[in-house]
Formats: sequence, structure tokens, C-alpha cells
Amino acid sequence: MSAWLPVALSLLGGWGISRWHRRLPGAPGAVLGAVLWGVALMGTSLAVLDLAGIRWTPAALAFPAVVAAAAGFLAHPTAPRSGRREWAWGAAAAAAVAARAVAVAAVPAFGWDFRYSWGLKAKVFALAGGHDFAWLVRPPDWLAHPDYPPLWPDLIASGVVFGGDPAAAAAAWQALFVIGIAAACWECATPAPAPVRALAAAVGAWVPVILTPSVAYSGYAEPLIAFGISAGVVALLGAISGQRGAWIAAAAAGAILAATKNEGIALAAALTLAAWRTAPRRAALAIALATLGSVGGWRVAAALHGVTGYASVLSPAWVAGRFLHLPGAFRAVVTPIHAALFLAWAAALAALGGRDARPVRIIVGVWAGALLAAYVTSPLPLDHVLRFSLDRELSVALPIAVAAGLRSVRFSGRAGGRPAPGAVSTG
Amino acid sequence: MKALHTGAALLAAVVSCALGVASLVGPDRSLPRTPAWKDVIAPLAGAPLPHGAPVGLLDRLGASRSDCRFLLLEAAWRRPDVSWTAMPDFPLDSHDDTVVTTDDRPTAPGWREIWASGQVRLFRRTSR
Repeated sequence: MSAWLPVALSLLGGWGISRWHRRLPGAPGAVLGAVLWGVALMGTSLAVLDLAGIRWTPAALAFPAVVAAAAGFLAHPTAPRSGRREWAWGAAAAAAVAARAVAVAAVPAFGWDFRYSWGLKAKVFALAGGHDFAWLVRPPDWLAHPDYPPLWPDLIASGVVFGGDPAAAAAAWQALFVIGIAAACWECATPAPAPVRALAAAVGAWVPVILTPSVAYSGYAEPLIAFGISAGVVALLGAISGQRGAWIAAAAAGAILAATKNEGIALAAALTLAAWRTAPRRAALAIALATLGSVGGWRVAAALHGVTGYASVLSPAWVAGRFLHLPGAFRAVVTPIHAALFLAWAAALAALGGRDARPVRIIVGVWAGALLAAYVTSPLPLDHVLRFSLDRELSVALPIAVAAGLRSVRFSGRAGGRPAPGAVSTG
Repeated sequence: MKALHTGAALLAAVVSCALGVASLVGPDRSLPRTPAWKDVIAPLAGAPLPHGAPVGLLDRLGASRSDCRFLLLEAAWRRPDVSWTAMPDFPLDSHDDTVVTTDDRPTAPGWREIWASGQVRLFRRTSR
């Protein structure tokens, strides 16, 4: 149960910040806001305490959340009221989301990358009461990825600090991400009628592959990335019209992505580029600064302590060889799951027409390019990398891309949903 | 065109949801959930190891390189308070004064067994 305490505290603190945030136009709804700010609050608290040299303790981690929650009581957000019919579909969506969240929470993480990378780092950090750079400089094996940004092991470590088991802590956080992804998808599809929004929420909660209870997926960082990009896309769609509450949320999502993993950094860069091309400059600048601050802060700290990872191979001969080997390696590893994922992506991209979906198309394009670049410059065997990552990478941004495609769905002979473009809802 | 977009959006949603439900019984891709190395190293949790000190884990005789690597990682998972390094044999030329073995190899000269449980044995250096 103690593994759940930091998750509950984060939600409480996130709710408090979200109450203030929702005084601004374009802020996410109550559920998405609470999860987004809860994750951001806990991640920031862990990082600031570490920078200040203050040991992670239950009291030190609880204090900011309690203050934020208390402040939330003083705020008076203006939330739109939902109609009776909308509540019915909201309840249906909530049932679908709750089923997945309970399924995820019930299985403590057990994947190999969890046990020997994310969870191991969390144990080490919790033991040290902060980032143990001496360990990161000399880890037992490169599988620990010492150079990766630390948000995911930090969040797991918070559960260990409260006396919980790292495997249970990972499951608790991932159950929260399920709720966050589903809320983001619901909000993303907000212009559509309530049944379509409920479908979008179900798509978000039942995100494929990355929450599979398997040794190849359980407890990995991808659900956090999926949540970050889902929240980021929703916020960016609201930020296009310059709504301050939306671009502040997009900046928070960019910071979360950049603090999670190298793939998260690529998605944060895609979010920034999409903002630069479609949103007001100050929105793009805010997302860029949050992303740079998040990834730069960690990279500088890691470099100062001498933490390194394995480098990409950039020689033209290597890259050309990998390109030539790519089709064969792909044929060797492709499964029916990959085929179904490509089908879902093809359908989602076909639905992403129109000016409204331009930011999503930019993000998907940049993300695809970054993945290709990572595969052709990785020093690891191509078959191995594809076998153990392609389905995960294809899954992280799928729910929000599908939800963005559902935005334009209308049933003939009926009025559509809310006119507000993807920003405000009761979540 | 509108109907095409709607159909594509609904198809994407249905396929994505179906994949999510299918994930409940997803493939393990031949990776063992409870491999031998976890049981081998399990007694290490109670070993009297010096906190923070470097400890060598000797390669298990007859084990593959991959299994030795996972033994090392499992040792780190069980005892994250110790600074683990992989060792091919008793480290006569290193600064480590403590090593762990997981096989029945004979004790090397200059080393003394101080603790054992299951297949895990802990050795301290007696002389350099």
C-alpha cells in the first residue's frame, strides 16, 4: 500500500495546481490536469531536492504536494457543466478506463528492463536518497542505461522511499498513466459527440503493447512517454489559438517527455517543432525552454559527474549498411502485432486530414524520422533492436493520433459535440 | 471524403482497442519469466556484504556469457547497496577484497570462504 502513497500525494498536489491552472483559458480538464501536474510536481520535487542536497524522505516528498493541495482549496476554477447524456458516456468511458487501470495496478512490474534498468536505478536512488552519480559512473552493466534522463526511475524510487516495493510502485504509477492517457484522448476528441469521446478514452486506456504483462514490456518507461505525448498534443491543439492555459500545459508535457528517455526527448522535440510551425511564438518558446531546461539540466549534471552511455554510430558507411539491412531485418522480426499496428497507424493517418490536425501530422512525421535515425545509427544488432522495440515505439503515440482522428467524426442528423478545439472539458 | 475520414478514424480506434485487449495475453517472445539465475543468486539477499564496497562476482563455471551477465544484474538487484563488478576468476591483481561465487570451484590460495548459502559463497582475501 505504501507504494501508492506518492501516487496519491501527486494526484492531490496535481489537483491543487490544476485548480489554479484552470482559471486560465485552455487549461486541461480536472482529470488530465491533476495527472499532468501531479507527475510534474513529484518529478520536480525529486529533482530539486536532489539538486539542493536534501535527502529524499517521505516528509520531504509529501510537503510540496500537501502545500499544492492546500493552495488548490483557495482557487475557484470555472468548469463547464456536462449534460445528462454526456455523463452517461463519461461513465461508460470511466468503466473502460477503470478496468484497464485495475488490471495494470494488479500486476507488479517484472520485465527484464524494469528489473535490471529502471527498477534497479530506482532501488539505488532510493537507497542513496537521491541520484547516485557514483553508481551511474560505474554501473554493473550497460543495460542500466546510466545516461538516460531519470524521471521514470525517480518516480519508482518515490514509492521505495515511502517503504513500498519498486515493482508495486511501478504498477501504481502506470495505472495513473492509464487514466492520464485516457483523459487526454477524451479531451483531444472533444469536438466530437460524447460517444466518440468515450471511444477515444477507451483507445487511450487500452493503449496497445506497452502495458502487456510480459517480461518484454512490464514496468518499462513507454507508458510515461505515451502519457507525456498525449497530454502534449491535447495542450498544443489548444495552444494554436494562443490560449495561455494550453501552452503552459504543453510546456509541462514537453518537460516530462524530455526527462523520461531518449525517445521522450525526440517526442519533446517533435512537440516543440509542431508548436513552432502552428502555434504563436510565445507558446513554442515556452515548450522549447521547458524541454531544453528538462533535458539540459540532466545532461549537464550527468556530464559533470562523468556519466556516459553508448554512442550512436554516425559514419556514412555504417548508416548506409544499416539502411540496406533494414528491409531484411524488418521481414525477419515482423509479427501479426506489427501488421495490426501498421494498419491502425494507416487508418489513423488517413483520418488526420485538414488544417486542424496539422500539428499531429508534424509530430508523427518527426517521430518517425527520429525512430529511423535511431535504428540506423544504433551500434546494436538491427534485428535485436527491432525485435525488442519496434512494437513499443509504434504504440506510444498511437492512442493520441487515433483520438486526433476521431475529433472530426460527426453523426449525420445530430448536432456535434462542443465547438471548443481540444482544450476545455470536465475531463 | 468526410465519410472516408470517419471510417478511417473508427477503424483505427477499433484496431487499437482490439490490440490493447489482446495485450492482456501478449507474447513473451521466448524470454523466461523465472530463469535459473534468479534462484541461484537469491540467497545473496542475506549475505554479510560490506555496504558500498566493491565486490566481484565470479563468472559461473559452465554458464554462458549471457547467463553470467544476468547473474551480475540479478546480484545488483538483490544487493543494490554493493558496487558489483564482473570477474572471470579470483581477482589476484585487483583491489577487490571480497568476491562471490555461484559454483563449486575450489578456493584459490590467498582467499578464505567466510559465508555460504545454497550455491552462493562469499570469499575474503587473506593475503596479497
